[in-house]
Amino acid sequence: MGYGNPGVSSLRRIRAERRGGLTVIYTVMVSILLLIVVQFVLLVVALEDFLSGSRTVLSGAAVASGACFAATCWLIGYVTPKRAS
Amino acid sequence: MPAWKHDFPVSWADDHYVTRREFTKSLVLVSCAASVANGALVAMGALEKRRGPETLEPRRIGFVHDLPVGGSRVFGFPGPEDPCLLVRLDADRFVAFRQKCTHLGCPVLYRKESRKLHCPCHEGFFSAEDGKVLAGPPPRPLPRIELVRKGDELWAMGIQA
Repeated sequence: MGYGNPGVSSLRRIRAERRGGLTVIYTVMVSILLLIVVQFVLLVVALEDFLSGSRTVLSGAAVASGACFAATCWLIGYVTPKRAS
Repeated sequence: MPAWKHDFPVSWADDHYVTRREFTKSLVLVSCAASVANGALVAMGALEKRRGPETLEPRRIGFVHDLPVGGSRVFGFPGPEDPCLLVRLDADRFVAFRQKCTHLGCPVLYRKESRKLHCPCHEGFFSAEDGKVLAGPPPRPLPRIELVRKGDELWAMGIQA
């Protein structure tokens, strides 16, 4: 039913593209959520380190948190449509 | 379709609709905030390090007869905003430590019955004799305050790390 009908096949193609797009967005969303969880863990570790006065992992935690933020920015750029110049 | 719907095509309910993409973008803000908070901790740590060691001037912290045996008292050293704990263990034995727990900075309290310093936040225990960690999560002993007795007066002279 509908085989050879150009209207129906283009509708299927649109639906398949939409499904693919949704998969990408959900993947990005879950990845960003995981990165945020990692950042909160890093923040807790850094806060404990700061309050205890030892200051041994502060810089490392900040660098790792910055890397997570950079990864988040890259991921959001991946799903944001580019504007035509 | 009525003519007004052409001018206002979005319904009230849909006006508050948040798309997946918008939600994901807001997550980036959370990530940015966490990153900034981590950076702020590094900056605060660097500022404290830059201030360098405090100049310690001897300070009179009280009189011997003010404190009963087994009693404790809070005083500020080297500045008034740096709380320390003075404990009279015996008639002639006084000890003093910084009051900030070395775990997360909660104030420690003296427990006369067990002769221990107790941090109620996470159940850390320090020896009142020398400030060593006896139990709990604190990673280091309490910094000890050097005391000198001049007649009836007690003076804080410095801090042993």
